[in-house]
Amino acid sequence: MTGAPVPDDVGGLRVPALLLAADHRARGVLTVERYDEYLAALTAAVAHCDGVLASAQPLADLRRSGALGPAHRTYLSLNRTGLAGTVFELDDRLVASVERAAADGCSGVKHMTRIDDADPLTAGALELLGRVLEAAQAAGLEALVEVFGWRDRRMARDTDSIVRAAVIAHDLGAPLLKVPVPDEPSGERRVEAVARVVASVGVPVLFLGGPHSGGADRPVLGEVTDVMAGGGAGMAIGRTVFMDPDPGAMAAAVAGLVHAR
Amino acid sequence: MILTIDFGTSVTKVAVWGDHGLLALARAEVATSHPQLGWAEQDPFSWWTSVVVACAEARAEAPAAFGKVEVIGCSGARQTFVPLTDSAEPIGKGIIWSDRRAVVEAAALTAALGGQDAVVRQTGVPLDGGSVAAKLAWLRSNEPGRLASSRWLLSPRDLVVWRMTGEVVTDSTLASRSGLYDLRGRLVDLLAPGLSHLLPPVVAPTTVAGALRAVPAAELGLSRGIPVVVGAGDRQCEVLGSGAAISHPMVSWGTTANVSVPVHRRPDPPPRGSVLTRGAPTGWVLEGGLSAAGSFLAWLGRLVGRDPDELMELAAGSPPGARGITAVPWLDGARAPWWQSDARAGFVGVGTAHDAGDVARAVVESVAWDVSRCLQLVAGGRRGGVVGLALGGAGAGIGLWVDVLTAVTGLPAVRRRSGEAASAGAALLAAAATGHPLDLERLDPVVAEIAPDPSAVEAYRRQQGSAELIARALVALPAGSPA
Repeated sequence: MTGAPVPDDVGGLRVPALLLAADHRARGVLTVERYDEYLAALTAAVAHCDGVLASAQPLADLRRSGALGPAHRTYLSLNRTGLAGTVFELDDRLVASVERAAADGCSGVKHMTRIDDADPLTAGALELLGRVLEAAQAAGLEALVEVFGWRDRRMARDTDSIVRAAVIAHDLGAPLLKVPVPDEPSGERRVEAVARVVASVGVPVLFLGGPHSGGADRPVLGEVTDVMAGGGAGMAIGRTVFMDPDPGAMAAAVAGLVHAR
Repeated sequence: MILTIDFGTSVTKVAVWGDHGLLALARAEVATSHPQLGWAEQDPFSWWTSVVVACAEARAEAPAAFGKVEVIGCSGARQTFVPLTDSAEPIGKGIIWSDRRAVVEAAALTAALGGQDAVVRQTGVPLDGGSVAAKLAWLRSNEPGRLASSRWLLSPRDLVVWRMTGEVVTDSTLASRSGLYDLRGRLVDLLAPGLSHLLPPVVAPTTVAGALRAVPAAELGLSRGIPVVVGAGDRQCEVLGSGAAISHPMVSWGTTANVSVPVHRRPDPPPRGSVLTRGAPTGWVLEGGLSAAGSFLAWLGRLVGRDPDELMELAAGSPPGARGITAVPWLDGARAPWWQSDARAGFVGVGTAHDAGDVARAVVESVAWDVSRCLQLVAGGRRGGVVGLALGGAGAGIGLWVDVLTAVTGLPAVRRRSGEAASAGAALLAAAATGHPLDLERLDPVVAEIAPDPSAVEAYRRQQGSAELIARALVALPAGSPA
């Protein structure tokens, strides 16, 4: 490997890291409908995670219930107006503020930016990202930026799109990235694609888990293995963990892969 | 419930066993890289992550049984190792058994020990480019820093056991197959000069290495504190789990083929051309490791654009004797019983009327002929004492292979239910180690005894003379130079 060394931690987050993602419901992706079941699954899973990124309510309830320990990093999800499947999906505005995250004692904020070459709303999305990054820096909070290309109303999972999105967010100042796992055959090709994404930026890159497969097989575990072999800084996983019949065991297995090195 | 971890070369298998057999089986691939010609390396982290992935799959397959696992047992790939720091950090990649980088060092060591016969008399294991001793010599010459900064030299199984329990050990069968120890279990100084402190303590296969620690327990979805039994080498486990005996040698068809028998008393000297290692739980194993088997068929498949399964089907359409084609399977050198590393594979008797099925059948038959020769070897000339074969490896489930094998040898073959002999052997060792010995006939009963087809036996009996003549002529041919 050449180039500038990638910092091995961001603020208080030590990488490699596994973060639990719990902000899907606020985007209208209902996943687990019953809130008590949802919280129970999150509670079982977060015990094996290094932190959680969540919208305001689940984050508050996880904190209140004692599910979060002092070592857990917490990221308040800031923008959620881009509801899944709507005509205004790209119009993804703030529903929470950096100031609120700081006042609540969060260690950071999480912000999602989609880049759609065919949608003029992308310009505003990038402007918003810049403002969030400035505010987080001013407040001394970690900023976790989920960024990806958006094409034909879907996440672009080809490696070129992932690299381009990561580079844009990184060069705007994002200190910690969350990107999709490249859509390549598992094994060597996917490992190489991950390594290419990681090498395109100078900050730790977490990879996202995507939707739950619904079957008994665990394809996400192969993705995690390849991500870590390719130099990924860890995973930010939600649905594939908390929709598993045994969310605690699934989170622990992913943690085992993330922390193997 | 017993959970077994079987470290193969390209796949890690996790199985859950109840008193009456296999309840779940999950596999996770382990990638091998070939950074230079003849090299074969693996990422040591993948040894652990493959266990995590396979455990998650097994848990999903049989959650109730998985939740009741009381003991872990292991079966380990042999000769593969990696240098590690005292905090279990790998120093470079793992060097796997099939890596042939150390041919020059092997020749020098063999000469220093007085030739191959002397080596085998001393250690039971021939020295070649794949030997641990030769690779240690290679590291010393080419990457001395890796040895200098290491605290341990461990196999995949030993590294995973360390991770699970915090204890560093290996077992007597893996140690004996390393070729570093003499037949009384003492390290041969010349084979690991100044490195004895890097080798793990050697314990019996039925030793509880330690209790599963909290973090790995969570990662594997198992209960913390359950005993982890060190187990044995994959071949020794396979011999145990296949129910092999002197009267029923194990014949395994995989990438290569193998004929092995457990013996109670150590033959002295070991039969020429065999490998002698310690057995599990006790005793010895006499092994004839053959040349290419599945890899020979795969090679042919690449040439003719078919996968090995298709070729097996085509081969079944060709009669015994492959319509006159006789082959020898020494794709990368003739191993047991010939040990002629510069010999190569070949086909004799090919005509324009032959098709891919005939050639494929000749490939399968060529392996069976070498198996038949090895039976003579490992049975110590008492071929008459052999009354049947215990099937091992993927070949246990391949109809044509079993048909050809039984007809060429004239012996019936026994197939067990799971088809996972190495895992079954690891389960038996784990059960014995924790004071609840299991009976193989209950754990993994025989489901079929395949008798040889009399007309095929007769056809091969007529062919035997010419097959022998051809093999002896070809093994003596000087090798062509590879491009």
